[in-house]
Amino acid sequence: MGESFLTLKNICCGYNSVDVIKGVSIDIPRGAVVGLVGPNGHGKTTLLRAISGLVRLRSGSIKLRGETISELSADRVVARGVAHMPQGDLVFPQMSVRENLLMGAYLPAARADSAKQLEYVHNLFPKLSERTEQLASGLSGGERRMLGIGRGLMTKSELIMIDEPSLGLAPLMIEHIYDVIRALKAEGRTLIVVEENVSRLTDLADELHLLDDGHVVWSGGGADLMSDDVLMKTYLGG
Amino acid sequence: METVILVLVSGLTLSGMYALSAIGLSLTWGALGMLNMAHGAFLAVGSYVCFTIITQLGAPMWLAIPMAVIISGLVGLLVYLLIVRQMFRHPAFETNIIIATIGLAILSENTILNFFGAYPFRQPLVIEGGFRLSGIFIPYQNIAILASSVVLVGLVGILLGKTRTGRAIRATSMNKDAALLMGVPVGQVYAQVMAVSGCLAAVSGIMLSTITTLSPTMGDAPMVKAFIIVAVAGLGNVYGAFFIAIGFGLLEAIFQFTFGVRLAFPLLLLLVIASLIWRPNGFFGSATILRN
Amino acid sequence: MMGQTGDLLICQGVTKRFGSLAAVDNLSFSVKQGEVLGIGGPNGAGKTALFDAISGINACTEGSISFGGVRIDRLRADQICHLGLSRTFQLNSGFDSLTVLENLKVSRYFGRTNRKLPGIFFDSRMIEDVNEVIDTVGLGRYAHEKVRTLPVFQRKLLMIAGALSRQPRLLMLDEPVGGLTPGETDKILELIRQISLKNVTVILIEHVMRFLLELSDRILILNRGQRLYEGDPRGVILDPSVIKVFLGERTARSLAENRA
Repeated sequence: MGESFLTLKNICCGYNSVDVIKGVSIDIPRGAVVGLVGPNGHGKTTLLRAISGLVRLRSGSIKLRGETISELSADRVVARGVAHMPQGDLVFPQMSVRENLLMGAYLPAARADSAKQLEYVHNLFPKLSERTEQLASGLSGGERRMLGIGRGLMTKSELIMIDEPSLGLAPLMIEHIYDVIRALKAEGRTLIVVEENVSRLTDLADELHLLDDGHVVWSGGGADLMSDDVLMKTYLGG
Repeated sequence: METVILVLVSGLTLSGMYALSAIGLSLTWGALGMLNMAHGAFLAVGSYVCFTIITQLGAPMWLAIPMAVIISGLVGLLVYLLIVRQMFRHPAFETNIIIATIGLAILSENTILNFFGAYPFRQPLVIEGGFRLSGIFIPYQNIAILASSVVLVGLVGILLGKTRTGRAIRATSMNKDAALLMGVPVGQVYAQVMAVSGCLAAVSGIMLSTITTLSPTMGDAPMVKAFIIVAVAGLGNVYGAFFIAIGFGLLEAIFQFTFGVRLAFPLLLLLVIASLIWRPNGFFGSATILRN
Repeated sequence: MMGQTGDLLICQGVTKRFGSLAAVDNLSFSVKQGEVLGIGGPNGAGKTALFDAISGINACTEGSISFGGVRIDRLRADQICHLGLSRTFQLNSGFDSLTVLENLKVSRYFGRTNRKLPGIFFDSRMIEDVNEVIDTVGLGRYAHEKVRTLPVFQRKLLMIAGALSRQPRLLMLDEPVGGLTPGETDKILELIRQISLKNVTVILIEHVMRFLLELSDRILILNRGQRLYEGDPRGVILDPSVIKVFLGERTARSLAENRA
């Protein structure tokens, strides 16, 4: 696949002096699609936040393209080509859909191409282009999701991390999003996807990591996970 | 008719000064979630620095005012770097910073008192003369204040609405984590906001000192009014603060004219209480202002 | 569609406008006592807006809604709640700084009757009711945890528990299993089945089709605020307009395969 693009080495982090991630080491090659699966509340979201820099590490290190990024503030991490589409979407409520999307092109690297990217996102999510002047606070849950993902795509980052792409989306939209993820992979981007529903990732992800209680308890291919009844039952309840 | 002109002139003058001061406070509250109790101190510092530059250094008005404003901006920046930034990570930040800035305000007031004494100096910035409109004498001073306010508020509006820095400030105010994820250097935004807030407070203070006099406690009452305006507008809503400031200034002038100077402020406060009961989140505020 | 006897909820010509946009557009449907109605549809189709209108959070612009024979479209949300209609929310809601037990006490105390003068103590009967709800839902271990520390599955359970403590005749669930693992989804499915068996009428909004189809007696699909499909769950996955606008070919096919 290639040399290691993102390396997590024995990282521990959490909130209010309680560790949620208790020693995780993962190696992600360039161009790979990696899935993080496992029960809720066991660290998948925190792991993404640690990588993007929203959560400080208590110990361990994170290296991107060989450079240690774990001490950097989130805006500096993002400037190195990391897009994080968080679970709550975190849209800017008093900005319009268009302004939100343009905020995704805030950094110089993305700004140059912003008109083209905007068109790309509008084609992806026609519903957003219908509501382009509407304030983000007036969008429905699923529309906010689309906006959050679209905005992240505007950054044109090499590493893309999506926390539960299908949450709150209608089935047709979910297929749509996964088509996008496949297209991004074909472009050579590296993706980390957190998913509740393992089956969506099986033929897409190069590797899955199963997180339980802040540890990686299993790593491997999607088909292997689905066929392992014990694993499926224990962690994902079938 | 004459009454209307009188009230309009004095009201709009007040509105202009209040608008600048309130906008600065609202920016700080919106972006940092910080109730800056040293806001009045910035007002006073700006005025006294301007006074010193003119009287001690003999500088002309057009040099002294920008210098005083820049110095106040730097003071704002220093407050951020030395105090706010250290306290920011603590979960009780919003309470702690109130106490810290109160302390800062007391320190500032006493320093001014020590250096200048309590003598009510006059700000040597008065523009003499005026013109007559429908028989009413309108001082150029008031027109100058009004014009400057309009220009400055316009500049802030352009800054916030049309520039990249402005978008960064607005984004940070709405959702700090999301702003970080867009690559917005939030720490720098905070510093910029505090500097701008210091500058706006200084201008407001200088304007005020030309109408009244300098005094170490000159920032107290204007700060209270700025807080009232920001709260009635809805915490964090800068555009709202502007409109409420206009209304507040006009209403104060009307009340002063109708009920006399002594009763005007208390009656105005009653109106404020009533409006906060009617709209607890402010006229333009949203139901919750969440930081991240 | 005029209401028939046995209809618990009747919506007639319900429209909700936001400016010029009609989130819900002249929608009429009814829900029979004891049935489970599943509501689906693309994002922005007006599903939550409909729930807001029925539950009184954000009243409809036009139309009439009656519940158990009483017109509720102009009543306040708390009045509607006291009539026996309880709903949950898409985003986890609960009083963050209170414990699970305290949340449910509040729900139980205020949720059933109108209190003109709140009392000071919770009587033992109320405590019993709350404990029973906690057991039904399976939150016993978390009873004394503060809500803000709860993982998402427990938060969803808490919302259902809160609704149950208000002893509803009609339970309205807005995306009860979004973001849950298959195992967690199954647990909630079972829980709602149990609730339905006790003759509580249920309306639920969901995107997780497996869940929606397995639970519902009848399905209503909305699109742009209007009815796109209403009828049997089995017909939903075959209806071409539903597939085009909401399900997508692949999902429809895999759902059909699973049912076979």
